Amino acid sequence: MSRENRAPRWVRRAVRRTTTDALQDEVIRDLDEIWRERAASEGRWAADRWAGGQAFRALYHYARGGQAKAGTGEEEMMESLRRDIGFALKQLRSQPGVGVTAIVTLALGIGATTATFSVVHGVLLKPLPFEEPDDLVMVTTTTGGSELPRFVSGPDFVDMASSSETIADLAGFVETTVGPMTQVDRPEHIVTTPVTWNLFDLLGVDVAMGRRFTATDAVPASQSATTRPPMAAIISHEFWLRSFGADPDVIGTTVRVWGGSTEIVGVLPEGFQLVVPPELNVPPDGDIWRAMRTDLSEWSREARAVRTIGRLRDGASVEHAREELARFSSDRRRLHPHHDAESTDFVTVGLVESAAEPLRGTLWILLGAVGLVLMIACANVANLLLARGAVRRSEMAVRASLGAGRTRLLRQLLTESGVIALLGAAGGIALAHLGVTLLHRIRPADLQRLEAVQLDTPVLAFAVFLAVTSTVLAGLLPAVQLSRAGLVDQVRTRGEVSTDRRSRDVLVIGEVALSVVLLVGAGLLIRSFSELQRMPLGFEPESVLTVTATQSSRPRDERQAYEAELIDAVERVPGVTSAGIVFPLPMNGVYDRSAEYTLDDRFADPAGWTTAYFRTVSPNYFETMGIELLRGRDFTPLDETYDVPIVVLDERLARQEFDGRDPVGEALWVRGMEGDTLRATVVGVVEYAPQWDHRDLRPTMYFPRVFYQSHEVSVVARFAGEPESFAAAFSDAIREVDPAFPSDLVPMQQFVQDRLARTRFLLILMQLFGLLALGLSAVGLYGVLSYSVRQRVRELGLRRALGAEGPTLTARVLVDGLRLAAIGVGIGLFGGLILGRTLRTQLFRVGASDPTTLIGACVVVLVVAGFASLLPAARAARVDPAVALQEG
Amino acid sequence: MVRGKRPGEFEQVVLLTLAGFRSDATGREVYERLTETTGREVSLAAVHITLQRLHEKGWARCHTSAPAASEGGKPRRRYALGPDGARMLGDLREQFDRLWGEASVHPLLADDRG
Repeated sequence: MSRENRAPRWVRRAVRRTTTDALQDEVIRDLDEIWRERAASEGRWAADRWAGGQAFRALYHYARGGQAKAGTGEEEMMESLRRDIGFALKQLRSQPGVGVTAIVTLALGIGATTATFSVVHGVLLKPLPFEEPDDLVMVTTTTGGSELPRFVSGPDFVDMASSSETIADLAGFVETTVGPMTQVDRPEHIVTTPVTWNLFDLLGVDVAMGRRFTATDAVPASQSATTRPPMAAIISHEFWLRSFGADPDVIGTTVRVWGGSTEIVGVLPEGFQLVVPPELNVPPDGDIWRAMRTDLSEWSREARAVRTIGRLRDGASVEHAREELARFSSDRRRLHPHHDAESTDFVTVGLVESAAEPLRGTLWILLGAVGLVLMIACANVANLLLARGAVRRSEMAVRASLGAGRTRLLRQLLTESGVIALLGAAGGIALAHLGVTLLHRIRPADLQRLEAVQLDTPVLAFAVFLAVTSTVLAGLLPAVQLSRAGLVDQVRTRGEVSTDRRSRDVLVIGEVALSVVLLVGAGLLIRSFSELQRMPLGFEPESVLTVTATQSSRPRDERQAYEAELIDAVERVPGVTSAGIVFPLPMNGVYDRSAEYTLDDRFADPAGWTTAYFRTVSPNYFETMGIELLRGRDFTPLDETYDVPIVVLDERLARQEFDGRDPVGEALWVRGMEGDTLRATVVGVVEYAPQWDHRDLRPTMYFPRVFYQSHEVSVVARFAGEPESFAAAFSDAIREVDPAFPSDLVPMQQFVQDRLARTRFLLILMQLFGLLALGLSAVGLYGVLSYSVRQRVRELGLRRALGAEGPTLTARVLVDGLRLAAIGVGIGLFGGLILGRTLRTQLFRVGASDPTTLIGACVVVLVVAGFASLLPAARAARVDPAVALQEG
Repeated sequence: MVRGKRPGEFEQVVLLTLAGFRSDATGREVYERLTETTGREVSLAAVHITLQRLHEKGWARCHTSAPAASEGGKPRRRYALGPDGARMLGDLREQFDRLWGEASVHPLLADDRG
């Protein structure tokens, strides 16, 4: 990077900031001149080093009392600070064991905390990458009784946009599709999201190349025209690199997406992500954003398909918008009663709060947990310093008698812990860097805005803040004690000082208590995770491969033939035992489908309708997935050709509605799928299989494929043996039927695992923090006990001389250690109960004060404490009476 | 002592350095002379600020020179020791000399300073 021929910018800025206004220009001019001369004679590097020194001196003067005081006494301060640091380093070198242990301990604590904070900062605290993100809101609808948020219908979107007084502008997008883009030679599957033309204007996101959409991009093409002009699309930077080799002439290129011609009009800036709440179901990093070209007001008022984002007018708050939308909802009920059987309510929330909502709890819990680890680390270091302090009592006494004031001693001691903390922070930052790199590599599913997670300035500032805090936490107590000793204890330089011992005991008790808290947290999560994994899936994901493709609309007959052909082709692949087609794929993590049902006797009652998932499946789907047929029959190819509505229920729905009666032959009214309300005859009952994730308990209705035209189909196939070895043949067979099918096969097991990803992420980190805490407090306990054994050599030796047996002494020390641990465990239990309550939302089928977990954590801590005490205890038994007495 | 004010250590050093110039000197010249003779690195900005303060306290004179053609650019402040400053330095020197007459530090200098 080339720079102008003068001192580095940060130096000039630092010097300028810290110099009186009248002198600034002259000082900067001198600075540049000298820099140039030095650069010429000694080279740039030397000149920069000199300039850096100047900046630090200027900042130091400034910090020491501002410009006015510069020049008086700051030299001495500087000198004394340098001496303190030099002395601290000498101390560290003279006792490398203590120093290294303290630095490593703090590095672990600071590293873990910094890494966690970088995630909290990136995901929760960084503003969304949009213009004035606080003014952005999300608008959704809810239906009486249903908790699933839904989107906005086209006509409602248009009405709202034209009438709203609180929302200046509304933009939206509809469901993302994955489909083939046919370029010159190879088809590629790209993620396309149709958006309203004003989306990027509303967000305030500018394109890196080309242009944003304009209103003309959204003019519906007339149906009669023989040649329809291409649709306008803006592509992502990544897609531009991947598929167009960063071609600078990409603007104006026409590609065929879905067989429709699409013109690329713009390229988004690098790293653009449409960070919106997960409910909106849009992948943040799609390939193509296409301007919708339909008249939204002509859509059905019942099809609530538009994911809607609004920007508040100046001065309007989310609260205002909420009130207005309540009015809008009641007006709508009045104006369109026939469209409002479900009594729709429009709701709005700020985009910023809701974007990170699902992770918020998890992340704050993690940050709290890692903060506890850091506290344990600090307690450990404080302990080390206290122990070492005892040795330095005489040194302090001498210093004090030579006239060093208490403040001076305090300053020196705090400088020492400051040096340790700074070195620890340096190690911590390195560790955090490692952690963040690792996180980027793992890319946990569900963690939005991962790109924003970086060790940037605020995060580094936080690390420095941690270092300062640790200095105070770990250094203050030892320093205060020591400096007091220096003044009071001038003569008594030997023997045990009880206040000292007490503070170390308190620290160890605190460490043990904190580790109990963390272990309780980790234990609760482990239990809850294993509960989740024990949840019956209803299907057997092992040995099942899936592949999903978006479908263009085909006439019904053609669709049936096409799907039959697909299944046929897959079933012919050697190794395939069974194959089927489904929409939507269970646990796909992106979307689900719901409809409402009722029974004959409740048909007329508007409140008698219940929401359930629905899924359309081909014959053999149940067999392929390993879903057991409990009653009645599976679908047959004949069902696909008849118009008689039939349905297969899962056992949960059957139990809920038919309560012991055999549902086969009964009828179910269903509405909200597609077209009219159906009266379907129940032909079978199958095992319950969750639709969304392991916690899902909502029942599902299964229909033959013919009753719903899905925009995607998933082919599932069960293999005998390792599915991976059949993948290529599977993929080839499908693409022989339809070359537009993507080749990325996903094992069903992967979807299942992904749904557990967030819980697993939390679990792994909590376990890690729990182990770290346990290890650190074991080290702490060990340190305190071995120190106390060393201190009591005389006493122990005397006891030996008076006839005490070795084992008796061992037991004494062991009991000492366990006593401390037991007190800590007692206190920790309370903390554990509190943490359990905080964790409640993250738990599944495990009580917040689960006794097994609480007892387990206590036992683990006590056992580890026992082991940590064992070594010092054994040493106590080996004390040689003669040596001990001599030492006295 | 003049006006009852005592200079700080750094002020003394800067003023003494300034006294070493035959004619008036710029902040930069003082900075360079100071680092050369004492061998210690100081803050350029602090030298400027201190010179300005010495001027305000009446120990140094200051005038703004027309820019030399070779320098181009803006005028520079130039400083020179004032009579009050000279008197103050003389007084200090006297005090120190008296103290030095009594002091015997040489035996200790053989030891390590620490």
